[in-house]
Amino acid sequence: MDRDQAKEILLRYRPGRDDMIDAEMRQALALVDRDTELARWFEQQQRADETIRARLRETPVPADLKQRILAEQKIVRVDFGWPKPVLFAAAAAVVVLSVIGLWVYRDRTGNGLSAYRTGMVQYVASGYSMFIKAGSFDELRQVLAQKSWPTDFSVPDSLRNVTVIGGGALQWNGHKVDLACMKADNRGLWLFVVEKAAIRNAPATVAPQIKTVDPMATAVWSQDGDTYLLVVQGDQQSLKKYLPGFGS
Amino acid sequence: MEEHYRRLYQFAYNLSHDEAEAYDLTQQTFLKWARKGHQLRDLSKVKTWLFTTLHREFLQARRRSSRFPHHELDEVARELPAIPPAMVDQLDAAAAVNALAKIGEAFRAPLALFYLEDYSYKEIAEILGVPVGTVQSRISRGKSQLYKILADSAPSPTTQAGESHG
Repeated sequence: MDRDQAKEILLRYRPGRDDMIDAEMRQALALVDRDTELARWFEQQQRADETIRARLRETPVPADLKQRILAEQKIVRVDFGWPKPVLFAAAAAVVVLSVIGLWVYRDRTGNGLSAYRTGMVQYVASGYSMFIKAGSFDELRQVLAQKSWPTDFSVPDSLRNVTVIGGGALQWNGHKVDLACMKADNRGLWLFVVEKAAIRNAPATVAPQIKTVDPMATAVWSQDGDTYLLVVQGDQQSLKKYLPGFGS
Repeated sequence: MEEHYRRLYQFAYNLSHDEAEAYDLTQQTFLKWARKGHQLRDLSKVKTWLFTTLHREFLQARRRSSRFPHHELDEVARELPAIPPAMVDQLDAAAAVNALAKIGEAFRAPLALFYLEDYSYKEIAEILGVPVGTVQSRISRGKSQLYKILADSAPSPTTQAGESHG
């Protein structure tokens, strides 16, 4: 065994543990005793390992992580899976809540469009905590109004033929967000509406900005002081038929 | 949960190098635990179960996403670098995490488990679903890459003739 071979073997060494002390390791350790240069390298390597270990363990953990985990676990969530339209329909049948589910999304990465879009996609992709059952946009508006949630959103013509199954009232960075939950062509669709001022770099126009945020396709546009985010199960092609100006 | 969420987050962060993703991976792992944890008969395996689940979640997210180009450094350099002692003294958490993020993806998870947890190679193999020999080899090669990255990032006061870079 030469010095380089010994070094490669010694990289696996863990002080205080003997689960990897095999014949090769014993041989390499024996060489450390005889080879001053190898011994110096080994000492440096051990010291570096200890430092790396200590530093990695210092990686800061978000202060609210524990509370968030506990909160999530207390919520009864309906798992829609992905992509399972049957579950989607079943979930709609199971959820019979007549109250608005308030879900407070605490933005972790700022108040920009990217954070908003990602947060909302994660919300729908990981299953709902609660939502309103409603059979139409008008019915959804009525429930939202009862809870003093905005109802002035415009439904694009391209969404007129989808089936509304419910919605929700969310908060994002202290701003009220309307959520309409729909289905069409065996896929889920979600429309989020928030005041434009809530998002630092919200689109300025009605021209949709399309982006895939795994596992969903999304489009964002602004109209009359509000910003709309449409999230669709599927790819961008599937999304386009539900967008204003793209619908068939 | 109290015992494990910090280490799980740190493991997730070392895998993803992204705070939001690490946050979500940790949450998702505990969400799965809330749903399926009761199926685990041997409670001594809770920690391993959590790490295994988080790693699987990470791999699934990675497979779904094309956001992460796969860059791997070359094989282990035959000449293993030593990290300059001054570099070791000055190493902070961010630099350590950054260096770990730069090593080949296949080596990152075993190395993160090696450093963050006092798992045996056998346990690491169990979590990652690979043979023990593979874990040994990946840790060895991963450490070699890590040392090289750290050594290369160490400021050198002078550039000497014949000095080798990269």
